[in-house]
Amino acid sequence: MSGRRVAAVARRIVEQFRHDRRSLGFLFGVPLVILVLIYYLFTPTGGATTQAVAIVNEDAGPGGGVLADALASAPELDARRVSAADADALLRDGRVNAIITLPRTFTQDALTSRSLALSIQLEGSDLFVNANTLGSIQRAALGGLASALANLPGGASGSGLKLDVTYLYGGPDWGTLDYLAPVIIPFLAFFLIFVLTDVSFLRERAGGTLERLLASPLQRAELVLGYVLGFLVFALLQTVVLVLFAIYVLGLRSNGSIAAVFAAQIAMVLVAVNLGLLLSAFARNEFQAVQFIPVVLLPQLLLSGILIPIQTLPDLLRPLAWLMPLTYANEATRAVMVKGAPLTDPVVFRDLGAMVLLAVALALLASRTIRREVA
Amino acid sequence: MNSPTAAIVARDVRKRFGAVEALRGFDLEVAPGEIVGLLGPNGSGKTTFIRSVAGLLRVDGGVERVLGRSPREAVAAGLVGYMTQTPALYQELSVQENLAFFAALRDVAGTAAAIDEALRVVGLAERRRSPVATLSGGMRQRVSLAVALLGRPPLLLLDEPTVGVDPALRREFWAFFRELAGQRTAVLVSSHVMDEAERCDRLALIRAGRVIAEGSAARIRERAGAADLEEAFLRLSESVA
Repeated sequence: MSGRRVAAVARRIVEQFRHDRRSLGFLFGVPLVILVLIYYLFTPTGGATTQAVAIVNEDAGPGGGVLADALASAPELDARRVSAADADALLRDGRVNAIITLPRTFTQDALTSRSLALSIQLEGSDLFVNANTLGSIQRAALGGLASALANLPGGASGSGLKLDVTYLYGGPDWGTLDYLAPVIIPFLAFFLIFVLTDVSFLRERAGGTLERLLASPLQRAELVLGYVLGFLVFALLQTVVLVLFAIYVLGLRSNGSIAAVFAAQIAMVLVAVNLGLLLSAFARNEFQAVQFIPVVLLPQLLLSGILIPIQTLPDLLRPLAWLMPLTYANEATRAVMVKGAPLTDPVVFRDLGAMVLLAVALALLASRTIRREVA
Repeated sequence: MNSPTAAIVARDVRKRFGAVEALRGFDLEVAPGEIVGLLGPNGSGKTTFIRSVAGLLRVDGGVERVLGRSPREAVAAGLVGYMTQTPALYQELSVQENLAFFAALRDVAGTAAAIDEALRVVGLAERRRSPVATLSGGMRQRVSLAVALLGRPPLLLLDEPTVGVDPALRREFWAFFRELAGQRTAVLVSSHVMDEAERCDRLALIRAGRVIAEGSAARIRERAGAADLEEAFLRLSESVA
């Protein structure tokens, strides 16, 4: 073991970095950006912590009104008092996460000391939204219950509070993985296809073949389009395997058509391939290309509604979600698999359109970025 | 020699990479059917000039015409065959697959026949099914040349084509270049091997981004009063330094 040789190797690495400013920038810049992102994610910065709910008061007596007032003013809830029909429309539009219905017999039950029940209908398509909403309703209801009961003549006391929970989509028989499949399948496909394109285009550059391609009649747009088509073949096969395996082997649920799931995947893969090409065109060496991987994937993991529902993102970060291609893929796939939405559903249609537009924009940028002066 | 159909016309071509002036007033003409050798030390600007003719870089100043068009137009029309210094090939693909790919990009007519011919010239017909990754360095160089030859473009740019090629095959290469020239193909070949330079119709001695002497090997030797090209090159270099 020679200290001199060890030192020579170490010094060489330091010097290589010194000459590769961009890698150096990544080394310090990327973790700081991610850290700031996580800081804002978990530091309450206003908004976002309340759950949107609709309250329908059907109580024949005065007790329901008092509890409804209490719920409406609870800090955990962003509540509006509406008719049953309006509430249903709001829930289907996704403008509220749940409907709280105070039954006809609420006051009567309280006065006769029966157990009190609220019926809760959850929108249900997102596991985390379900849990957050139910928790907030529970806390708000318990807080408001005492005052509601105290206001009743004769000092009524209900024996406990029960929430009868029903679901518009999904349900108690849906497992965690059933809920996560619509976000995990797009993430896996995006990750793998992006990395594959990013690295394979880099090989084209490093191997000198890019130089040869550019000294041929091949136009840059043709090169990008050819790459997209070539990778699309594998991306489609991968999607077929992934979706069929998830549904038929792992037995995960899907309420919608498989064709619609594939359509969403195709749109997303178009984005992934073009993003891989664009960033690879920016990278000067393999080191830089590899560092684009966390830069692209970590924000998507945090901001596209995979683990943290978009509606609970801090106000500051929520607009960023709509810059993440996976946000659209997740929303569309969730709409299809959990809600059973068809391809013609306006939300699914809009998401697919957004992804295709994004893919076209990235393709144009990529073909501009592949410069002829490559060496 | 200033005909509009010249294969290459370069006048006062300048190119700078940051602080380095790679081409500083480069002048050269190559006529159809002519084999012109670019001779000069590493870093003298040979490759930069060839890349500019191949439409790979935009020059900062001067005029460049390739077969009466801009370099990029000539390349887009499939008129230029370019052999890069390092064999740029797809390692996983077989020799045949590499050639078929590049033939498709250049819209080569009669692809199968063109591939057969290119393989015959470089003596690799037997290895056409082998993945490029399994070939020796010299063989890869030959495949790379075969790619440039596909479809017999009227201008061939060869950047050090015979590096790693054994003497017998090198002789065959040159016989073939000569045959192509007989059919009006213009060949611009860079080299720092002097005995190879003797085979060119005309030589351009390059130093520091400029042509310092031009003419047949015999004329250059005569002008420098030197017994061989190597000595002639050294003397001429000193005289301009």
